[in-house]
Order: sequence, then C-alpha cells, then structure tokens
Amino acid sequence: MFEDEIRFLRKMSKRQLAQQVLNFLMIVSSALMVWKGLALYTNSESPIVVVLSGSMEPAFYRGDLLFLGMPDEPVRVGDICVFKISGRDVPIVHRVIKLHDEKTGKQYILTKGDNNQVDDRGLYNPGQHWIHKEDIIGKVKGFLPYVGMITIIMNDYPQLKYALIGFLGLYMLINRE
Amino acid sequence: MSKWFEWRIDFEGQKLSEIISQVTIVLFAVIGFVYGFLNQDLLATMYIYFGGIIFTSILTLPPWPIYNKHPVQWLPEISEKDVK
Amino acid sequence: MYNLLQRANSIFAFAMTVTFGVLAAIAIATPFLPSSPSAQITVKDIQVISYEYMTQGESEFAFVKLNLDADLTSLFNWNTKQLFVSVLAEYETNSHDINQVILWDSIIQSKEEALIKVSELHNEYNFVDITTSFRQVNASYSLYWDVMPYVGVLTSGQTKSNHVIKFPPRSNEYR
Repeated sequence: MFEDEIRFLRKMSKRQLAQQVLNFLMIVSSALMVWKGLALYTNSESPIVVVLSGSMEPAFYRGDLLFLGMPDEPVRVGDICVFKISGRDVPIVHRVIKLHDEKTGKQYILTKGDNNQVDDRGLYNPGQHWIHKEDIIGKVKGFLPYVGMITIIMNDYPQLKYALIGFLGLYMLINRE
Repeated sequence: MSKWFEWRIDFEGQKLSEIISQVTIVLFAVIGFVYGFLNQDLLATMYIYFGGIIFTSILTLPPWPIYNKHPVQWLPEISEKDVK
Repeated sequence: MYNLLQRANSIFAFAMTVTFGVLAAIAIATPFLPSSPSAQITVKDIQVISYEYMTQGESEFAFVKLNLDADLTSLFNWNTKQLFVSVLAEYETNSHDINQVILWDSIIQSKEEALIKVSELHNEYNFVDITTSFRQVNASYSLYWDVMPYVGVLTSGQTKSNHVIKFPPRSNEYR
C-alpha cells in the first residue's frame, strides 16, 4: 500500500529530508501554540470553559462548552457562575443560592451545584463560609453541548495527545504536498 | 488492489462531486432547520441534517460512473526505438 | 478530490462548518419564540426559631410554608432542555440592602411537568440571615426560573407578582 511513499522517501536528498522535517516541526509547533494559547486564554479572564464535573447535571455534562460573560452587573441569586476558591486553580461552575450584599457593596455569596445534595461550604477553604465578587470569573451566558469533550479526553488520556501528534507528524512526512 | 480501493474519479467528476456534496449538505441543513423550527422539534432537525450528510456521502464518495465520464487523455506511450 | 480519502476529508470539513452554522441559526432563532409564563405564590405560614449557627452564634431560622401555582409550559420550545425553578425570598435589612435566598428548587425536564402545583411547600434549604436576626422586616417571595437551551443563550425570568409578608417575631418552639 505504501510502495509509492517508501520509494519517494528513499529518493529524497538530504536537503529535501531536512525540508520535510522542518515542515513537520512547523506544523507541530503551531498546533502546540494554538493549544497552549487556548489553555492560557482559558485560564485567565476567558470567555470559554469546558465543564469538568457532573455536579450541574442534568443541565451541564462533562464535555459541554460554556460561554461566560463579564460580571459587570452585580451577581444575582440563580445565576450560574464560574468561580475559583482563593488558593486553588480549578474553576468551579455552580449556581448562586444565597446572596447578602452589605450596604458598602461587599457581597457574601453561597453556591451549590444543582446535582449536589449540600452547598459548597465543603469545597470552600476551611473556615470560609462565603465567596465574594473577586472570586467570580464570569457568569454563564451561553451553552454548546459536547464540543469540549476533546479537551477532557486529551486530559484523561495524555497518551492520546502524543499519539495524535505522532500520527499527524507521520502523515505530514509521507504526504507529498 | 489499492488503486481500486482508492475510488478514483476524473477531474470533471471531481468538480461535479464537490458541487453536489456542498449543495446537498446545505440543502438538508436548511430543510432540517426550517422543518424543525416550524414543528418545534429539534430532534427532527438533527435527524434530517445528519441523514442528509449520510445521503451526501452515498452520493459522492463511491466512484459512480457519472464521475468517470471524462477520463484523462494520456499521451500515447513513446516506445524506445522511436526516441533513438 | 481524486480519491476516497480526499473526498471524505473535504465532505467532513464542509459538514463541520455547516453544522456550526445550523447550531448558530438555532441559537439565534430561539429567542424570537414567544412565551407567557405565569406563577402565583401565597405564603401560608412563617415561623422564626433560633438555633446555633456556624460561627454566628444563636441565629433566627425562618420556616416558611407556602402555596405554589405555576404554568411554565410556554417556556418549553424546541431548544429547551430543562427549566431550573426556584422559590426566592428577597428582603432588606439595616446592614445589608440586598438579601436573596433560594428556599426551594426543582428541575423540570418536560412540558408536562411545567404545570406546577404544590400546596404545602416547605423551604428545602435553611432560611437564615447573615446577621443573627431578621428583625421582622418585610420579605417578598417570588418564583425564579432559568431556561437551559440545547444550544445557545441561557435566559431567566421571575414572577412580577410576589407575596410580601413580614417575618414574625421569634417563637419558642416549632408548632
């Protein structure tokens, strides 16, 4: 099946080989840049997150994509927010179930996942009973099912990531274009 | 054997299959959307659209004879003694 | 396009683009669909009892019994995956100008279930203020809902008619 391709590989001069390898590296590195860029972008004030846990089922499942809005308007009870507990990296997507706003403007917020039996106080830092506006990264505004699944699969099975890059590389080398 | 499995088609056929595939997919997308919206049935839209994709694949992936109506006219082989 | 792999690749790529177009069209068309949700809440009884609470010390807990009558069926369109419905209590105190507490919630996954009638609804979650006492202020009770689409923008709504009632003074034991 690959006689044509193997014959082509054998006929290549050193220069052509170098060119193919460079081509391959270019593609791999730009894919990596997009990947890392997106990961970085997603970690910061990003408008797009992938649902990682099942705590908001049946509304959101693992692998769904969420579009966030910037929290300019004050948070309201019922809003589904993405927040980070100070000191932790993992963003959590849960619903606000209690809200107490001091006249000074400081907000005391309690959250809970729809699918969880108890509120999030078990998740907050020890001694922490509320989260505040600063902890919130964004409010969920839009929704796209399944699309984020690929991020989760890549994370759960890193061998797949390398296998995919390996396949792409092989394909690039053999392909005459 | 691999040549047969490649399902080659000629250049005119390629043009034809590309146009057919694009038009059919868009057609099924529009029909699916309009039907689903009027009947308020999202599942119907999905079935019509994805059914349309499968139909398009059947229409354009196999090397049907219409795609091979204009085979490439290769130049005749030059035998060794003519060159000398 | 000369062989199977090429054609399959091209069809796949084109279909991906069109699929996104279809999903975008669905998301954009959905908000134009009309809806007329309605709900009625009547508070039948409130009791306030003090208990120890976290680090706040003795705090007033409100036990609310109410009547819920709602018709949210018109919110179910082709793009509605589910409704998140909750009974919301809102009130204002001296120190905090906005207080919002969810007392009860329910996830509704079909049009039939969207006709809600609960005659003796008790608050599911504990109803306690961030200060130790409600000081018998007025609280308004309303129905809040979130519409979760299959694809697109999340929308929400709240009943305009809500029941406003004072917290009673503390009582000694649960009736």
